[in-house]
Amino acid sequence: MSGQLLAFWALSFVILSGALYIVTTKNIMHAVFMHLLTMSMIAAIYGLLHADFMAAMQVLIYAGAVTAMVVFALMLTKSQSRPDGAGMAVDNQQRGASFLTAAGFLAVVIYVLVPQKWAVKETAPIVKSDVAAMGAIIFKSYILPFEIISVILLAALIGVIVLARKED
Amino acid sequence: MNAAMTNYYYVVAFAIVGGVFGGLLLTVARIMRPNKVNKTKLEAYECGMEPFEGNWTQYSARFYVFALVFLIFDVEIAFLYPWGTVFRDFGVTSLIEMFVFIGVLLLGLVYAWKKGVLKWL
Amino acid sequence: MAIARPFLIALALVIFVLSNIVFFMWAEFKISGRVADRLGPMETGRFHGWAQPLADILKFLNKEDIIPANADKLIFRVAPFVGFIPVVMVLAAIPYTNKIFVRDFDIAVFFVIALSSFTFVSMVMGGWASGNKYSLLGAFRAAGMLLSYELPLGLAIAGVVMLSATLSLIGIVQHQTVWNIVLQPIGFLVFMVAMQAELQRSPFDLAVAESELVAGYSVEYSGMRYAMFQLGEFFGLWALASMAVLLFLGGWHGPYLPGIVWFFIKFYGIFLFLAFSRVSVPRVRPDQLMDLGWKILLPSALVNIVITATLIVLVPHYQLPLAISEFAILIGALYLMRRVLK
Repeated sequence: MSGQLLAFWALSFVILSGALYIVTTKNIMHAVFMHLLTMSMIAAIYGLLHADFMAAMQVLIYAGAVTAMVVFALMLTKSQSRPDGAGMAVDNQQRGASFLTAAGFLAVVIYVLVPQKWAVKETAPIVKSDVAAMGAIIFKSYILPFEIISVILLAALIGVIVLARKED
Repeated sequence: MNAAMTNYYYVVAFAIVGGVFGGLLLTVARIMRPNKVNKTKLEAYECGMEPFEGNWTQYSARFYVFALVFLIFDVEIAFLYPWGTVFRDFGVTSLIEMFVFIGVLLLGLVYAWKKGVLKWL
Repeated sequence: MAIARPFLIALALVIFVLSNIVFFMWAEFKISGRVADRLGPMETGRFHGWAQPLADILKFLNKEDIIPANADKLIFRVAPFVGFIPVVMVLAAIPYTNKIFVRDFDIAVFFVIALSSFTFVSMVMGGWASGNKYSLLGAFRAAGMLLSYELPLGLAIAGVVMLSATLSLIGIVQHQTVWNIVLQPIGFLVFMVAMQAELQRSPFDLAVAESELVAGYSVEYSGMRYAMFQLGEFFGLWALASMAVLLFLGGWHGPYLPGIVWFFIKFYGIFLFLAFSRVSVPRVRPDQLMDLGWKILLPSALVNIVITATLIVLVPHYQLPLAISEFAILIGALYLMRRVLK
């Protein structure tokens, strides 16, 4: 087993158990910080794939910005319970619907991924880091999705402002 | 090991050294320091009295809006870097593309500004 | 041996930076003392109190370590490491000359920015886990502030990236036949202001404001755990000051002297600037802080990017026009601001 493969399995183990911890813990802040760890490990997986830029982006956006956003969002909630969530249930009356949704998503993922033919190699190909190549692809072939992203971000921004104003 | 793998190896090594170094500092401190805790020392810092409410209270929605505006502009910055390395190869086209992108987000910033979201509480 | 090499390099670098930090601490004591018409430390070690930082470290080691009863013990212990490990990792990306560097990352600039986002996460973790209202309030202030100033910082760096068309720090320095401070004066100014906010240093230290928030997120921390937060801040100073030198001041370029000497001359120039600005500018108010970040620095950085991009694409020899227009806009804007503020 090569070092890369070993690292991949170790990282995957941490990511999956971290994800499991996030959904099962009652302490919501622990879930947030475990989310941080999980996201950082996913960045390491990108590193193993020689996608340096994606790895850094994962850290910047998910480990940094999204964690901050989630913490602030949690602080909006009026919590009657203690922060460690003692005495709270992990699930609620929507458990049936959420189970169906999750199962449906799993089915879609299996349907898409299993018939796929993967070009599996023992080690990642030796490529020079490709920020420029990535930029060329984004700004040449995928320019429309790129511009649509900006509109979606704008919509999210306006939406949150409208909601926040209502609460004030 | 190829050059890219060596880079990652270095990053991991630096992380481990950082962690071990921090742990070492704490261990040395653990050996050197006194340890006589009592109940009063373990209270949260207040003006001498027992704090009557935990720190888990509701905060203003403004912080959340801040974080979201930040997230959105962070994504923009993340796209600016690859664009910055290639834009001169595509000339005016890439210039216009980026200005549209920045312009749309700037619209959001102006909107947030006008709505008074960027004000501190 | 090849396996142990990165670890040895990392350890050597950490110790080297640490010895510089000891000097920083002493220099800051002396400078802030002299500016306030005091002598600063004079007793410890006899000669101008040179041993004062060492005595401080010894004090940190001897301090009792208290974890409050209603703290979240695990997060409380982990938070200083979350702040400290990323800034050590950043050291791997910073070159000192084109010969003396650890690794030449293709995305070095982005790597540094990405890792610096762990700083506020560690503050939120420490502040929340302390189980204290002051610390949570301080952590929230710190996070809000770091968020607001990371954007102008990143945008100012983007201007430099556009000039050199690479994210490698070595590449960026090699590209600077003219120092970027001449071509990007607006970017440099934005970077220097945003950098002080990112480092939570005194005009922008309102997250740890001793007089209001009794030290903010770190109020419940004592002894070595507290020192680790401080250490992380100093390592961050090292990283950002190096970035300022590499991105804007031509890195190791300079006549006569060897590159490494030039690097550290410029580096200590930045450090002196930080030390003096800390003691000569009063602390800003939270509302001023937000206005400065979102309404002055962010638009300025965006204007900088627009000008730079337009001139690079449209004008073949863009350097002179770029420098002239940037300085013209900068002076015009400063003049206007003075008029308005009067």
